[in-house]
Amino acid sequence: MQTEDEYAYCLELLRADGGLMARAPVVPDWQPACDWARLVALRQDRTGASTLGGSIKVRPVWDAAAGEPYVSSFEVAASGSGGAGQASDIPINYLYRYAQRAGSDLVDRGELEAGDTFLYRVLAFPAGASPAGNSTRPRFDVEEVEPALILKEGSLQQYLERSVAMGHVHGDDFPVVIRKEVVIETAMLMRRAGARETGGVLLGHLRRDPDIPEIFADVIAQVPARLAESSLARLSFTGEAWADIHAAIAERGQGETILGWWHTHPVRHWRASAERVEQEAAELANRRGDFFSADDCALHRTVFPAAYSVGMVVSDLPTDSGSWQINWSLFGWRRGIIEPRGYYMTHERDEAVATAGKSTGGHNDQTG
Amino acid sequence: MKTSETAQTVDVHFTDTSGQKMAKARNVPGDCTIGEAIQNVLSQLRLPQNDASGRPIVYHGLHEREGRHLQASETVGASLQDGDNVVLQPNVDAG
Repeated sequence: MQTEDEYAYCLELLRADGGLMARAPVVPDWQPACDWARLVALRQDRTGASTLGGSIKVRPVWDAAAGEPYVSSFEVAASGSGGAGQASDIPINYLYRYAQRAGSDLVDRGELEAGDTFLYRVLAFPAGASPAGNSTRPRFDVEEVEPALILKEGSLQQYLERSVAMGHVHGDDFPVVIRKEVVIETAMLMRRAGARETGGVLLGHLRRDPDIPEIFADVIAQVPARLAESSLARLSFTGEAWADIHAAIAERGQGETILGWWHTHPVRHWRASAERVEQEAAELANRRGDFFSADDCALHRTVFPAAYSVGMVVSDLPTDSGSWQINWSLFGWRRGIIEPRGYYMTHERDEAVATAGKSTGGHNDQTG
Repeated sequence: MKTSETAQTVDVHFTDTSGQKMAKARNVPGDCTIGEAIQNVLSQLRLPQNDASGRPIVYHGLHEREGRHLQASETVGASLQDGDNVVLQPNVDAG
């Protein structure tokens, strides 16, 4: 799907007192925002479309007080069939990580102290013609194909009637229902992995409820990443690990969609090891486990860019009595940004939370 | 259909690991290496080429029909046929 963006962007980095420190050009990665707009359009579609076609247009929304070229948010709209034309508002902190990087550059140049607070503003200017010349012309043509969503029908109401909400379910988010067996399996695999991280992928179906209309995810299984290389604070998905996962999915033969992934944060082991292991684990030992690290965000963007993809973190959570319980946190795309989000877990309300553990909102390291 | 040994070009499909991104590559020269082909497709699909620390991400190409990973130095003409699907599988870390 083609992205139309007629603007060039830059950041102004300001001291806490408002003084200008630097300007830095940025080339935003619009893919997550565009995928979000596409999903929003499909969720509202009443024609049964599973793909939009057409293009996605991005434009800045000017700051009401400062005016052009200062940007307060972005508007991303899908053209084409179905629910096209509906624009999604993308907040300015979509560019937060670019500001973080620009701030780090200032620290490296000695123009900002590490840990100092700074502010940023986003500016947009009409883009000129592309510079001709040095770019190497590819030797063959590549055409992106928008994969049609495989949508099965389902009544969201029926799913919710036999589910319990876990964490805060945000109004913007498309509903995600996770079978309790999946949640329990992740806990068992976490315990089995001991002082190493473990993980896998989440499988299921995207369902359309034509009466609302709404699209929701039905997560029915997980496939462990048996060949991923793991350590106390890292899980590496290698080519071999992905190949093994694909083989396991093919062997299931259920025609499921990969809806996301999960991995663990064995916090109790981070804390137990803090005095004898590397700096990284020592720093982690002081953290709660319900977070998406910068690496987790990068992995999610690389492998799970579709707006319906979710990532689950299974972590140890200390209790007031000094023992540990298992905590599940879900993360997903909201307006093109990876955010903690709620979900629904199937099965009886009174049994689920009390015996399985706890679910919290969590946070990610990319949006602060 | 063009055969791999004699074809001067082949038409190949690429998908990402989760099946969420797809691309058709047309008229890929037989002497193009797998590494070069993957690099071109990554750009077109806007898949990240660096990790959170800025290090280049290594993508492997899984030859779906043969069930093996292609070597970056293999040529397209020697490895792929018209209609083959290559799954892009990155080495990525969760923290």
